[in-house]
Amino acid sequence: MATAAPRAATSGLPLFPKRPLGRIVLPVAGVFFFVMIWLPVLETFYLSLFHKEPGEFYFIGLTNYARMFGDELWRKSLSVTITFALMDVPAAVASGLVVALMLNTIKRTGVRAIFTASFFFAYVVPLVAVALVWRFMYLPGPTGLFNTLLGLVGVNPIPWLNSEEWALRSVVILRVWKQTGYLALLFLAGLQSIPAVLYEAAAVDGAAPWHRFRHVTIPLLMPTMAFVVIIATLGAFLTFTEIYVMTQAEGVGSTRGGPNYSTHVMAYYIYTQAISFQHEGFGSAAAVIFFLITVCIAYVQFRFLRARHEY
Amino acid sequence: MSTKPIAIRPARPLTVGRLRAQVPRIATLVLLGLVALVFAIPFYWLLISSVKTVGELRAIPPTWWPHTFTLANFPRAWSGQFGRFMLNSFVYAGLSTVIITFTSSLIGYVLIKDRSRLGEWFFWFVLSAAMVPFVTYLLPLFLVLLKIQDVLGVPVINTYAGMVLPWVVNPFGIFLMRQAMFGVPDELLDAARIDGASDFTTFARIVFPLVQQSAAALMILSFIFRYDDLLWPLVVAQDQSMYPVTVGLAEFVGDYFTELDLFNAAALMAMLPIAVIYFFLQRYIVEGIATQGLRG
Repeated sequence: MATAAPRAATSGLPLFPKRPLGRIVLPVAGVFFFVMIWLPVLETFYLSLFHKEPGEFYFIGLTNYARMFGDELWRKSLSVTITFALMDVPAAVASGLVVALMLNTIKRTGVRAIFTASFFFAYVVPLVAVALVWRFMYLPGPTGLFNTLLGLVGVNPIPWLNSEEWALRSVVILRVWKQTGYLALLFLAGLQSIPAVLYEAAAVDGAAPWHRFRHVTIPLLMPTMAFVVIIATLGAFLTFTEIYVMTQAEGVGSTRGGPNYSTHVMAYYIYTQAISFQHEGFGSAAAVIFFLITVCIAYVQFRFLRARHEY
Repeated sequence: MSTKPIAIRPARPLTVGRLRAQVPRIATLVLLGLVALVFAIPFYWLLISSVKTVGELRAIPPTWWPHTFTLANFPRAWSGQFGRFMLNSFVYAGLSTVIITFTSSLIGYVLIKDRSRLGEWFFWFVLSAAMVPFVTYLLPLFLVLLKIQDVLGVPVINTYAGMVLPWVVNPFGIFLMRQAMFGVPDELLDAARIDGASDFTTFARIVFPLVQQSAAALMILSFIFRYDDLLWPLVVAQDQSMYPVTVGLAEFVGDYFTELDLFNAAALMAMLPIAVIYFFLQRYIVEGIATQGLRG
């Protein structure tokens, strides 16, 4: 079965598709795509240079950015987002990796598939519904599930979502639970692609299981690790739904992200500024900075992890 | 890179002695089972809470097995707007899914079977867009739809059309279906053309059946992701009657919180369609995710 190579040289290709279907489909899809994604993206940059509130619209240069960097809530939300990612990414990646390593020891594919599917189920169920159920389970009083469980092992009740100290951690725990199956699945695919020959060769050379893990599994898993860490980090930065559904309402206009803005992440900040309060220019400036941050993260991580795994 | 799996056996950590090797393996299995049980607690808790009466829900300490059993919470939670929310979710997710699958397959077909430089540019144009976080262009997207509404004079905001529009052309879908097209032999297409079939007929009759597997994975995944979507409907669906179930649950969390019995039943019903899909079709989901690892 002759199939074209995915990365064929583009130089020999004609400029336009040869047949009419392609000549219709590509431009139409391109226009659609431009209007629905790239045009709004460009407009975000454009609007960020304007004072745009309901009924007011005039050019103000970089004033929005200056105001934003001076905004205490913006700085708070930046630090909350970074703190959140620093807790969420290592925890979720470690959890996914441990589960994947355990799954990988199961040799019967049927059994492994059942376990994989049961972990993955948490990732598939609608986040809003799950986050609501968890909010209920986090209830600080004695009817809350988690405090009841802690009580069984003699740990004092934790105020969870009601305390500044614990609210963000509570969201992290939910996310670790939700993502483990997904990240484990990605890791498992990576683990399965490590050739068995390498393990056999290592064993023949007398390498103990730990050494095989350290010198075969880890280096060969690095590309997967890079990919998973990028996905997990971007996911952490984009967290919105959990915050919207679970966290306490705060202050005037009842924005969420409480208590005391301790869960007021960047994505939620943009949403409240641009949509809820209709500070459309200011919100766009926040969106531009957020966009640049996410692009930088993806780029830096990609380069860093790439460099690390070249051995 | 080919779409066929590389012919390598799954990694099998070699063990020293067969008998001794069984012990850690069984220990791992037991441990894995325990972890899976811990992960299942929230689901168990939701399940039993949804059939408890209000009185038992407020019991201190909470009961691990419902002493009372009632199904009355479900019809009560369903009454009011909830049925409408579910309908909206199905229309939103279903319509997006059908459209995404159609456009992605067609575009994937053109990109691979009628290659051109324009197509290559288009593909990079698409892939780079997958990098942009949705929240960063949420507001201008809304403004663009407002503009379309004004110019064309048809309602877009607060309609199903407006909810579906941003998902008509989808990077993840195009990526997936483009990959699938590498598996379609060119000879078949040539044969169809010699028989005088038009390009679209060739696509619909010959090509699409051959990429069904990927199309099924795409359909299931996009249905799940759209059904799960909160942010876009939150902005575009402004009347209660247009809320999908995600927005409905999130906005009425206050109301439901005062009535714990209803809230559990509502959350369970919202999960049910996805649970059913997952139970019957999880093979496609797991494969689709593992091969692409891209969320769309």
